[in-house]
Amino acid sequence: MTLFLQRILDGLFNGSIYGALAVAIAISHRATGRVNLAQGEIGLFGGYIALAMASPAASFVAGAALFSNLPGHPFNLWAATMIAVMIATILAVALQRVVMRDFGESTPQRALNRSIALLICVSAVISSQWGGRARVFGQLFPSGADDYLNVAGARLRYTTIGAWVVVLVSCGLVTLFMSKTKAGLSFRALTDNRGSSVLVGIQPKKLMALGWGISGALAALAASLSASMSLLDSSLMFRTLIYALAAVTLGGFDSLRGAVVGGIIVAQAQTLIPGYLGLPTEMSIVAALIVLIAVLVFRPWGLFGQRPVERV
Amino acid sequence: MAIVVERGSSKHRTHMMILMAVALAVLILAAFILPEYQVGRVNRMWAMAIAIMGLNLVLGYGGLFALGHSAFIGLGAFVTAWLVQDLNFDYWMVIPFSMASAFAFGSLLALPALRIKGLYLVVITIAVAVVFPSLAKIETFGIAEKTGGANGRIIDEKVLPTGLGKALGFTETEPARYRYFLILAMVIVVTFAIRNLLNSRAGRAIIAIRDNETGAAVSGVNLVRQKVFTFGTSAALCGLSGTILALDKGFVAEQDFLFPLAVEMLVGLVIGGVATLGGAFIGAFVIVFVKEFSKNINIDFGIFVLDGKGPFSALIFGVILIIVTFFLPRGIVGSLKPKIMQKVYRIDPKAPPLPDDLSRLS
Repeated sequence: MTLFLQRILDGLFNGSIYGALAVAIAISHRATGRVNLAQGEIGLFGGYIALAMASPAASFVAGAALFSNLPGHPFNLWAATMIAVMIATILAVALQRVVMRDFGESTPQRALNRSIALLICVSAVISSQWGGRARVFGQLFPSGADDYLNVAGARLRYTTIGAWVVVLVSCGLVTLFMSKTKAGLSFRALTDNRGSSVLVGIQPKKLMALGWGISGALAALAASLSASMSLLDSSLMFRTLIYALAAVTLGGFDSLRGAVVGGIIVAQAQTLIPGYLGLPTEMSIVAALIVLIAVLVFRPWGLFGQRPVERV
Repeated sequence: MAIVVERGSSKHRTHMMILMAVALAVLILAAFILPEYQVGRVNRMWAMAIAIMGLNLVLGYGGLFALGHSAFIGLGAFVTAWLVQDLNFDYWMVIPFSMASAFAFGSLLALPALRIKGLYLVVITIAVAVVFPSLAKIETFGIAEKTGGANGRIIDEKVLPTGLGKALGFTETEPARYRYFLILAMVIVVTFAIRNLLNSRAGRAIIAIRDNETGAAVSGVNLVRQKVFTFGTSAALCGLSGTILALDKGFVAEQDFLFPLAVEMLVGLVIGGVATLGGAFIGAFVIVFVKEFSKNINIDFGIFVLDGKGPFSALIFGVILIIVTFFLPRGIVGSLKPKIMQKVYRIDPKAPPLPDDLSRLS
């Protein structure tokens, strides 16, 4: 029983990361109607920027020298992460405006091609600058041997709690933004009915960039949180992207709540299925795939998504 | 001034015959002019072209956005390694088995594709491409032993000239040149097979499903059978490509069949032209030779270095892909060929046949 509880609690951390990236994918999907496969890499870029800002100039981290002229360098890890989140936001907006300018209008296949192009571009830049070996990111939350809560004999690490607080707070802020501001309202109008909202004067270009910006920030947060638990390496977010895509597919591409719940489900499947079947850990992605196919075959629109209704 | 011919006329046929003869002569001569190393690269290009044609069948003509075809190439390569090394198969006897196993795997993947469409299919196939290399590494059922696991596996002898090859004067110091002709023969067979497939009932059905699934079903296309067939054939071609790659390299390892291979195929297909036959060759040329050329690039920008030997070549692919989607949305062949043909060599549709007894009308 304790082992079961421990596995559940271990899975919770990954759940927060997958949930955050899944929410990011869902938001950019709501903004443009197309999935952004480069989401994870944009976040990872932010993660490396945070690392470069928090590393002393003498260390062999590419980019550390670039930031060393700024006052206060090397930055505190939290400050570096926050600045990196902003940089990732700007990067995402810029990419949306330059490369994905007609993302919403072009054919789905062409939009996907371009987002794959973006995926390999950003990933090539990352792995040629910072690739080669995994790097220690530092700890955003106390994560020593004794930093855990005892839950009926199982360990709930502070990092897990912290990650969930960060993810839920940022998702809450996004929800608040969507429901309380004019921009958020027009964003929701755009996702609901593109044609009509353009007719009442909503500018889809700005909102598409806004959606990408928000999702870039969330992705950078996810990358930093994930790196602070383990290490920062150049394939970190691609792996996460697969799980997050599974999560957002489970939840339904339009639902933010669904994306978070999907993240939890995928992370639990990833720890529990290989754990109890005695499979090696690299098989955990198979577990995610099985859950994904099972859900898609029976509920192709996801657990929380809206069933598409075709007008005849 | 454009040359104008009528489709299917004897003039048109003669021109096509001359064109094919010239192309064949150039391809044969190329093997003797190019240095041995470059011939090896061209072999890889042919293998990628076959794989891209396979992908094109599903993605271009079938309209199903599948991104997991690196798994089929990997399967073909691993089956080849296993049959040649453990079961002492003859090299060329492997091909039916690798194609059949890839066909089976592809048909299996078609089953979710019957229900799952669009974006969801993309997600599933990406997951398959990512899962496949780790499946090749697992110890259960002795899979890792057969595939070589994480270390990869050497296929003892590469294909060397024997019998006829020796009689034609190929020596063992130039195996790539010998293989070139065998691979070229396969490429020609595959190209004509696909061309004929697309003009056949099955090919029309594949395109009909892409254009309007309901309409195709109403017109009597069996959707399930047709989709399974499309996926299977596409996977079988990738399996063939995997066999060629494995025999040509003499080594298989799961690192060679990761997701980036699937992306490379997609890049090649999109650059060449989705749903065009010639696009596969241009795409394969670009993905193989851009990588070769980028090896010589090394630019120091002060804050960062562009080193063409490393992951940098992927950046070039990405940039080319973005540029192509902006300026040549149908790919090089799809966008440029109609324009060039209009100016240089115009094929008019066949004139409708005259009624044979015009005299009665007058």
